[in-house]
Amino acid sequence: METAVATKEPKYQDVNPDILATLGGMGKLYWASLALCVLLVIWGGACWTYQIYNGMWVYGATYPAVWGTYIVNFVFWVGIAHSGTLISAILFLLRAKFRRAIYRCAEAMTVFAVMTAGLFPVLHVGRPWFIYFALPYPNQRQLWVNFRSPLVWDVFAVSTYFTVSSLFLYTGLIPDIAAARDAVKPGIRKFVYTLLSLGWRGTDREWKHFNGAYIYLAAFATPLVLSVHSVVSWDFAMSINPGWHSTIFAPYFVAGAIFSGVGMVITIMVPLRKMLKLERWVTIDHFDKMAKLCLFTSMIVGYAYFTEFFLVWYHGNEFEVEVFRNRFFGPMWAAGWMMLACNVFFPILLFWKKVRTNLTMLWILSLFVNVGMWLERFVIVVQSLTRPFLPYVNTQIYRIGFVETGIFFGSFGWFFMWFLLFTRFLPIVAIAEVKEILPFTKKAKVA
Amino acid sequence: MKPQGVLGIFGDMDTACEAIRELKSSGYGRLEVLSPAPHHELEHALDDGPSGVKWFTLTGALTGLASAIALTTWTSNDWPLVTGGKPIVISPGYFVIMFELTVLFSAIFSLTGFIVLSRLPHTRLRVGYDERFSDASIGIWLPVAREKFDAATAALKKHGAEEVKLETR
Repeated sequence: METAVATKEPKYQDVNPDILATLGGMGKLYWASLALCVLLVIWGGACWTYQIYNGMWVYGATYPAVWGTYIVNFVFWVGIAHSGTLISAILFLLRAKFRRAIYRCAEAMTVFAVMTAGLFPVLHVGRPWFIYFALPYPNQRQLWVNFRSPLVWDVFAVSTYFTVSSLFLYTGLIPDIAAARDAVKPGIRKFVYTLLSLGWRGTDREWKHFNGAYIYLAAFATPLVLSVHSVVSWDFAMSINPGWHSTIFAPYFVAGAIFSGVGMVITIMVPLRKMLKLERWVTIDHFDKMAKLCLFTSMIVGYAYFTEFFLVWYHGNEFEVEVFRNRFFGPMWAAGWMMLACNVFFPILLFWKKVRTNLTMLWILSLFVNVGMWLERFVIVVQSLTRPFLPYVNTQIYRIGFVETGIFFGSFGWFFMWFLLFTRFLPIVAIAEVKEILPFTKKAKVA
Repeated sequence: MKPQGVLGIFGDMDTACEAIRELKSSGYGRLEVLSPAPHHELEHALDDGPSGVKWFTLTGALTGLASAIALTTWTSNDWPLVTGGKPIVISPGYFVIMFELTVLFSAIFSLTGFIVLSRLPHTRLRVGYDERFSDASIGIWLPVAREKFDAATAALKKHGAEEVKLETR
């Protein structure tokens, strides 16, 4: 097991060489991972093509469960996107120093996760070439979108979130791209870095306005991150479906999103840290703190589950009671129990520091978190729909076909493909922010 | 005027801060400090005013809010269909759109403000820049005319610059 003091204390002058080294030659493992991701994307694309060619019957969503795993995946990926902005914006405003080494990774994850999430409504509508109907655009029939619909709120919330997260990521990257520009030899890479860094020099004027913009971006991203998953939760809560019509959905979804997002950051950071030799910069202490965040949000999620169950029992609406009984004792009971185990019971282990600082155990736990949170969305979206008000459809079981499976794995390929490309071309640890907390060494050697 | 001046390179924070304080008031014009990261010590030494990005942000926020009100109100009136006995305009649901567009526009305007006020993008890096400034050195750029080069060089060296470069274009 690695310990917190296993690595040498980092110095100011080590930041550039160490972190920019990650942009250099990648090993066989990197290329193999990238190839696997590309293959998954191709497989997912082939499944989608099959769906377009054969029609929507290949998708498991059918009455009464008219929202299937595409919507589950959409909510799952939007949730994954949440920890990025939490770590980069909220923890920035709270001045939590531990975020500095990990926030770039989390923020890139946010952007790629929203890019992945955005694919699923397109897949779900069946005729993707009409997806622009969701946008308010002038048309000769004078038809406009219904601004009272949570689905339209979602279009605005997710696209705003994607834009703001991308701007936030890019703004933070500008000084670091400049550092990369100065470190590489003349060539295409240098030219692209020069363009992307906007000719950044690090003058006092630039830093002043950079900090000014960054704090406002963080200040606006903070309510945004809370709003996005609230709006996603209202896709469900605004309807009167049993299992969906609940006022606690917004905070419950936000806590779940942060929980799953932090889980995914751990899932990615553990192997990435090893692959890119970032042990000096992303320390066990960072993982310890992320694990605490995971534990905290897990407890909120557990509390939300309990509140939901309690309220259903307390008001005694028979349709709601049936939906909740079905979650744990219906034909898809395994999903319900696994959800509880992965999201509430297994994270209890994180109370022990030994677990939080053992990267293997933490990584395995983070996988359970990912699985659990996917299942939570499955339980909410699909299981609730299989128990509508009408009694005669009560035996429905949702069947997941090869198209959905292929697209599900394809989405992981798509997400990790972008992530791996990002690590190849842009610094995965925020150089300038890490330097900010390191002492500027006295009499640093001028080369 | 073509940029020209003297560039001092510092490897020590305290020396650089001391040099900034001294040189700021010695008639060399607005000195420019270059650093790899935003250090508070340098900010305090420069004692510059706050950033004006906030005005861009405010303009963006108000523009976004106004756009959202206009979009929702106008489109609702363009097809005035009563649903659920609710009023045509002003529904709590519009607040979501207003919030999202306020955030969207303020973020875009903040970034624009940062780029405009920082006078980015720069097409040239040659004058008054050294690649070490993105690594682990601090630079002080004195924008002085040729005839003052010697005096400025001496001043920078006196205040602890490890290297001084004369820069012209």
